[in-house]
Amino acid sequence: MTLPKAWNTIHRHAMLPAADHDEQVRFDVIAGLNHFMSQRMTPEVEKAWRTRVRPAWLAREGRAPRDRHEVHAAMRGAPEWQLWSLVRRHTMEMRQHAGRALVGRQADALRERAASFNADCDTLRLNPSLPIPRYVSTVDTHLMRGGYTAASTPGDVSNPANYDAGMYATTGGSAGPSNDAAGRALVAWLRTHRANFSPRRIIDLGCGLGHNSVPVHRAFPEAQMIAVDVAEPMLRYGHARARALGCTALRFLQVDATETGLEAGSADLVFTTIVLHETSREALPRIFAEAHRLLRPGGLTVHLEQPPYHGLDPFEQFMRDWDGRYNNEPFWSALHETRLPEVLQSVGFERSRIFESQTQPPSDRQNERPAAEKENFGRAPSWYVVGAEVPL
Amino acid sequence: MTDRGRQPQFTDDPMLDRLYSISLALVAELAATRARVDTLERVLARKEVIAADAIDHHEFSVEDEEARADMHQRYLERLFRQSTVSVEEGVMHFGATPNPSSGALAAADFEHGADGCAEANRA
Repeated sequence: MTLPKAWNTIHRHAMLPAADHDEQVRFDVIAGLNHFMSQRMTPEVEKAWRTRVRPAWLAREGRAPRDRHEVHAAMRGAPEWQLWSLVRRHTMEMRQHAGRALVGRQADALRERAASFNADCDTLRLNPSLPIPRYVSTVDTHLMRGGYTAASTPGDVSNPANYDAGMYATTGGSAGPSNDAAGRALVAWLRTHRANFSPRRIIDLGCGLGHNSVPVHRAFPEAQMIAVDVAEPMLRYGHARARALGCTALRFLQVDATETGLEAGSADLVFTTIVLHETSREALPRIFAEAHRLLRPGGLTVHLEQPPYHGLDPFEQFMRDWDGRYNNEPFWSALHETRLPEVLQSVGFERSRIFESQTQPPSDRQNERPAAEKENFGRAPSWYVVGAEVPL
Repeated sequence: MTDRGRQPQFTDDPMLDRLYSISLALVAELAATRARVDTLERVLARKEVIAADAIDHHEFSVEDEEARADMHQRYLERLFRQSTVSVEEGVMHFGATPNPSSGALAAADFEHGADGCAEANRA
């Protein structure tokens, strides 16, 4: 069995917060707890469902549960699920707490380092007066206190630094030493399914701190690439991080993904990585419409997400929906119930040019996960792909 | 300050959820402490201050054993302070003073960050 990677195997770029012995160990303990939970406690939850809760439901109702809501109602009182949920919730709270303690003590140094990397760069364009959409500003997504836009001082990058450092604990390092598995999985998908694709302009919508932008930028060094987000701290940190990684041509722009202001018909590739579940029902079609507007003939839009619920067994839907209910992901459930190909079609993409697929990052020693390992319901580096092409 | 969003309750009793929250934090802290002790042993062994198996093969003197046994009893008195009659005795016996350089999370640093976020949100 592959154990989670120790935090000290993370790639130490110049923007990454420094961590002392106990700070590293606290992340390792959380990664270990998550691993133990998914490998040893999840089977107990499944067993409780299979051997006790489901039979009791069948006996009482005379039929199988129809959907995840009925499974939830039935499982709510099962001690196995309660304990699993308590551990899952509190590892997340502890991961955030450990990350806040880590970056809080070095917030000034991180801010100054980012400012130094970002000084006199025309590759970072900020717009402090940009309205922040409510779906970003109203909730502390996945328990990240203050959310994506929080800054305790002008130029503060504490939250993105916490995100960058702590993601490694949440995923047990399974996203690789640079936390960039989704970006690498997108590149792998393009290499496999569009072997001769050679984009001249690439736009990453909702780039956050750009951890998945970097591998795409590196895969297509000839292309001009623009990573956009609404959150100023994420862009400040992301731009500095990209420069620390030697990606000096990668551009970061503070605009709304629904209205980027970029030239229509100018892009060959418009993509998102694990972003759509954090957007509202209203914003989703507008993001797809913006992708459609930005693409030139022959252009491609690709989106990586967790798999949609339709076609899944109600129990698996219930397990996968945990983050929506209990990890401050208010748009998670609705997104996974949405038929994304239909939304793409509704904004103008041709039905015959819309595709669904799946992808994983290329296997390497850092993120290898044997097939026998239990799925951690929504946290494994394996994604559903949905997208469309604009005809030439 | 808490996160914006619903704080879930998984058991029937909110205090039981709170107890799990504390227990899981202790699970993590105990693991972190064990790791620190393990690191200490490895550092000492690498610097050849002690042999790698020195702890496991350490032989206590009679006096050391008695001191250790007494330490365990006082530890149990602290743990079971509500279940035994020796509460006052225990406090007087230990005169416990908290160690300011303990390995606990840097509360002041954490509060700084958290309050800052709150201000940013109100702005």
